[in-house]
Amino acid sequence: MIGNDIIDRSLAQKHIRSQSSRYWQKVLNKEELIWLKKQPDTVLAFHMLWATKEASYKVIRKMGATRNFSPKSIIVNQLTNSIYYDSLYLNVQSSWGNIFALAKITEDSIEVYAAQDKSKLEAAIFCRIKLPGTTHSAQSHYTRKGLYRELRKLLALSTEKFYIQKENSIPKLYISGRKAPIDISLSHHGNWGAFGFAL
Amino acid sequence: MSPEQIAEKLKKIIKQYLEEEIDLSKISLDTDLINDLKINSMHLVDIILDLEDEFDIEISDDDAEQMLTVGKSIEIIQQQLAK
Repeated sequence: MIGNDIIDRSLAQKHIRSQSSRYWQKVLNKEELIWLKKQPDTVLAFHMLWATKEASYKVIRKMGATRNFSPKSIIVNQLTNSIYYDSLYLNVQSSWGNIFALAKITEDSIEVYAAQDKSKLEAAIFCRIKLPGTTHSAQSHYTRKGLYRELRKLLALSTEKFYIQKENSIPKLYISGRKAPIDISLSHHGNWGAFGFAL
Repeated sequence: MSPEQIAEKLKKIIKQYLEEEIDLSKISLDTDLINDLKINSMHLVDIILDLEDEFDIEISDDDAEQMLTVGKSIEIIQQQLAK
């Protein structure tokens, strides 16, 4: 089971409130807060933690967790002293077991991919795409289109109709009317979309 | 404060975080903030902080955990106001 999340760093920078201690306290655990306050770039560090929690939440929802809003119940462990890396592996703890996550940081975005373990994460395919639209519907539409395009290419299915239906808020892929045994995860924020799939 | 008065204040707060034109007069107690109103999950924290300021209450992590629908949000505000 996989999960992902993407943050548009230009939007993150503009979200002034998420740079306040009051906001952090609603989202982070004690250890995460201590680590965050030591970071030279707290905007980047906070949003990396947030995206890791979001991506991990998508994994545990697929494992059977009830839908809720509880960012503190997902704990990002073993944080290194700094995040001056392009890629960063993260260990995440939840009541549904440990999650393995990979954060990819570029100038434009923070992408986080998560799975139950490293081998499942490495077996999945994850992509990031630049989105042409900025409304929520347009972002969602183009992110889905990006996923369908990659899958069509990979599976050599040029004419089949792809669509997604949510079941209990979890996206499920359908190909020509049949539910496909492909685990998917999608995310979009601002100018960026990201998706992943595991065959 | 009546549930209707709370709902009106809640709608005003929610409106700030809508990314698309949504007719808030049509929302019901079952309306889901993320699935129906397409509110970005980061803005759920903004809404919680705005509600704390507006009603001069404190929303605990346990309460925040359940605030995914309009109805549940109103219920939690009511409970806090009654304390």
